[in-house]
Amino acid sequence: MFIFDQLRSKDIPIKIIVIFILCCFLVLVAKLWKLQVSTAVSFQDRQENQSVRAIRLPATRGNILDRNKKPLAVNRLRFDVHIYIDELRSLFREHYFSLKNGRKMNRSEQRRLGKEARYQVVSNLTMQVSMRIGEPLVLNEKRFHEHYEQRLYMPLPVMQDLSPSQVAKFVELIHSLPGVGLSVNPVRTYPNGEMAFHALGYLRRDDNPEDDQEVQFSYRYRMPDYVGIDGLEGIYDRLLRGEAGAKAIRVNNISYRTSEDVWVWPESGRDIELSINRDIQLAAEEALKSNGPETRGSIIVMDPNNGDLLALVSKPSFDSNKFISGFSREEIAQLNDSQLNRWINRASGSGNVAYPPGSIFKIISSIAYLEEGLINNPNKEIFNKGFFRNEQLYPNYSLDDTAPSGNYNFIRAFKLSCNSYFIHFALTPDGLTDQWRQGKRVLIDWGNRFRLGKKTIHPLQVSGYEFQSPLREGSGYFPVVGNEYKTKDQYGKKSRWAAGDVANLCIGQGEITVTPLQMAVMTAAIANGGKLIQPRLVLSVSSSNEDTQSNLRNIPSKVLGDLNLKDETVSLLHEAMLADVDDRDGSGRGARVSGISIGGKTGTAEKKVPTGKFNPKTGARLFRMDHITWFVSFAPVESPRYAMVVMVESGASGGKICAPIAGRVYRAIREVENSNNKEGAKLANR
Amino acid sequence: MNSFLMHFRKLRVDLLLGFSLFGLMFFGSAFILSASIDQYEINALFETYFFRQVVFYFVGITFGVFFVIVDYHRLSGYAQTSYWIIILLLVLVLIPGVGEVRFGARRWFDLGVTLVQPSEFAKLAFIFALADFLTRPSDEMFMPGVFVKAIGMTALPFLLILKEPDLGSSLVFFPIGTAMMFVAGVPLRFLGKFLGFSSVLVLLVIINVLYAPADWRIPLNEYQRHRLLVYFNKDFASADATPAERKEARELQRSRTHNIRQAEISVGSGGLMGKGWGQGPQTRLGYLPKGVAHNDFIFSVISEETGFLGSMAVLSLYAILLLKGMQIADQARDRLGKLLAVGVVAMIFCHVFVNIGMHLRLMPVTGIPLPLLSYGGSSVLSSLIAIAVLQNVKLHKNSY
Repeated sequence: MFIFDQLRSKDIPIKIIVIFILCCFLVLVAKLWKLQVSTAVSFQDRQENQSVRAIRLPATRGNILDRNKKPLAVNRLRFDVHIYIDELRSLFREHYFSLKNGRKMNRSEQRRLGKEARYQVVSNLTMQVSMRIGEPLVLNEKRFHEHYEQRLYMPLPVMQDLSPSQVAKFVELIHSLPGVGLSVNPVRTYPNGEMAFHALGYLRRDDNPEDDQEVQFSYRYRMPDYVGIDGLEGIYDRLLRGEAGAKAIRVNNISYRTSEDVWVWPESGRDIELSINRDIQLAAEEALKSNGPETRGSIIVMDPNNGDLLALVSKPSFDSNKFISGFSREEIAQLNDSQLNRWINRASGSGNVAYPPGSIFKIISSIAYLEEGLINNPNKEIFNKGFFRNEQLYPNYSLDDTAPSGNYNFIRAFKLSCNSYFIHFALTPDGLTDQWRQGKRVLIDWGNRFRLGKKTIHPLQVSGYEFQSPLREGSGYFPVVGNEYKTKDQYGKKSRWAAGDVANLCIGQGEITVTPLQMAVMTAAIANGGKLIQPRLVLSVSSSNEDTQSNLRNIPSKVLGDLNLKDETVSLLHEAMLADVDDRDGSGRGARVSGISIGGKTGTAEKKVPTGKFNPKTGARLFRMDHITWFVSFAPVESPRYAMVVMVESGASGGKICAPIAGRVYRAIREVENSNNKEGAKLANR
Repeated sequence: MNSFLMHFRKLRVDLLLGFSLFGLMFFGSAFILSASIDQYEINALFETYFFRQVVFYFVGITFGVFFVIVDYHRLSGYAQTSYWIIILLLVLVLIPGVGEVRFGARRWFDLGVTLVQPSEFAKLAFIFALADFLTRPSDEMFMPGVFVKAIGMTALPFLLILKEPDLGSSLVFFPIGTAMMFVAGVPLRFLGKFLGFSSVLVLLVIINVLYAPADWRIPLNEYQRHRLLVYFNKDFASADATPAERKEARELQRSRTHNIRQAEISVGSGGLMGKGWGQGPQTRLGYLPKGVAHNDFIFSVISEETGFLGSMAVLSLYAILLLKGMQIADQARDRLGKLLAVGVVAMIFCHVFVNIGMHLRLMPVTGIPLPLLSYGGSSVLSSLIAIAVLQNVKLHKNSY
């Protein structure tokens, strides 16, 4: 061939040189093949690695709305001012040369001057922004250099969270300043402040949450993100948080940003619609606070027909917004107050708090006596001496009664909360023989039928997805059927049941603690004629698809069990509970609201509270008596739509403290219903 | 017009040689433009590398025409004179105030319009002088005196250029000289002894650089030592260094290896097809340092943006050039023409192999340009003149 003739040359040295050249080229070709074809991918990776910074983009958190789609936890837009340093490079250069002023400098002096020039340019720019939006801003020199050296590809944050007027001023001047930009970021906000704190929960800053993504990027930087810690925000965090996205920033050899490219768009979290009615919730919070700012207690309003929790109040509470904006010294002290303990949800008994029910347990006692035939004639009168004592049968037991002495039939005993009447049927229904074992069996049996000692909410399977209970719940304590021994006392001693324990149990003292949520389920069951309904807090979760309406996953209401009560029992109980509020001498009269028929039952339980002191001789813990006051109710009695539990710790009595609070809430509910009707009427008129 | 064509035919231009020449100049100008495209925002047109390179090509071709037309026998009449003139220039360039310092080396004369690097032209003058010297009866090749003289002619410019310092350029003289002596018929036992001796010398230098304690080192420039350490993948820090020294040494090593690391990434990441003209992030984003991308490291830019196929195209063009040169040498009418052609081929081959080999880590980093592709007036001019000499030898092979 034309250029390989030399290989046939007779000139040996020429031939050798040609062969040598060809061999050397072959080596080059082989090495090039290895670099550019065989191992090209590894070099492409190295090239990506040094020029691309992966940034994690958190998704917008889903909203939490009330049953009328009013906002409970949503995202507001936060406006931040940033400086894009890469756009200032020519200014840096100009300023550098004007500072240098033609002087001769060595390398390190030049570097120092360059650093100074950069800081002065950016600081100057910050000053200009500061002057024009009327907010004192200072650029921290150390932080600036740190940002420059480590995160140059990211914009430099200058000011966060501008007020609307500052945004307006800023937008006017944005064109006159180089490299300054406004960024908009969603921030969690709770428009109602501390309302429903325990149900909603709170967030904590966490830039590195576990992601579900199949592809994990090795992020150089993570944009600020939050995870839910408690309440719905915590329990349904995976649904609310959505899926983070990823962005690639291409940088040049000195880390200046040159271009951006979104790899994966973040996928917003899902919206959750609650059963809460914001107006009722707000009214209930106000009503409970009317007892005093440091009231410890709870209010639950539930729909007895489907279990919807219309209000779930636990006090004292805290403002969820503070977990994002930060705490003052005082607020930290408030959070650490162990007496008030703001962390626990008293309504659902999170952290295993539970309370003796006191006289509201007489509702269950009544049903037990009526259903088992211990009371076969409710009109039969029993004489109350003003205290319970039976020298022959129970020489060691006596109990004072708050109800005055006199003759009591069932209704009167119920509305005046006569202890003697209820103890009579628990221990000796005929008044002659000791039958406390029968009383124990009946009461424990019925307490268990009401599912006391168990959590009220169970996980639900909805179209293949398991919904966890949205509340952290305590179970309280109730003895199991056939239980021989009582719970251990403070010395760890086990003792057998005695007649006195049964007498205590029938009036809601001793071997029993309950949560307000359990009492709400009980009250609802009385209201709806005997069905135990699982409380429902979450109504629906929006699908991740855009097409929300059709894809709402509705959480159905769930019946936990039917008590199969006789109609007579239900109507008698309704009558007695109505009398408790309506009658002039009823203990719950404080709850009366004109125009609504309310049935209720008061309770004032005694609870031993450790004083923190010890008996100097025996070393035993010293206790004082505290009161847990209750009022459970439902309305309207004819066709119940609301079941309500009000519980206040350290109150005076259920009738004096809790019943009026319930009355306030019912009045608020009436107003809410009226305004809804008006709106409905308005709509109808159109 | 007709007369021009007639004259052109008379030149008997080798079409394949012309094709490879213009192919290389096309690659050179296109990728110098790609490597320095940012310049168009700041600099005036005549200050841009691309424009200047095109001007150099034209000036080079003009000089080339002269070196084609004038019979190489007449040219070699001035061989010894030009050799000694260039030696004088190499001495002058070392004198502070006369020679210009760039990047820590005194290699240039400043002519106002452009810088001139005499070492580039020294190679040409050396080829002419040695070819002229070796064009004597082949019996004389067996005389040790002739051989020693030839070695001396090679060593003189080598030592002067080494002093600049420019180790890479200076070392090129030996392969050129050896190839020419080999073709001229210098006995193999002389050449063998010489090659053996210089290999041992090089080996000793390398061993000294890599392993000798500080007091025993030959006085090599710091950066030259570092380049050799980088090539042999050795730690900069000595074994008994303190942690602080070690850290400093590691940093220095990182910065010293930066260019070659980035060059390797550029070449490798080009892949089979490359990223397209002007699209290589290594070049565009400045990872491949802007100061060297358009000259010594132009092959990185080409292979990043055109991939394996582009690299093969460049290698093929050089292969055509070199093999064509050898063909011309083979068919030359006399020893002088043959030696001139072999000298030129050896010179171009050394540049190509050392420069591309450096990108592929086959060779240590040296400041040797890629003929016709790298930016630089002196290099372009001397390359074009050298190729003109090839054409000259071809043109006059039959004109007795």
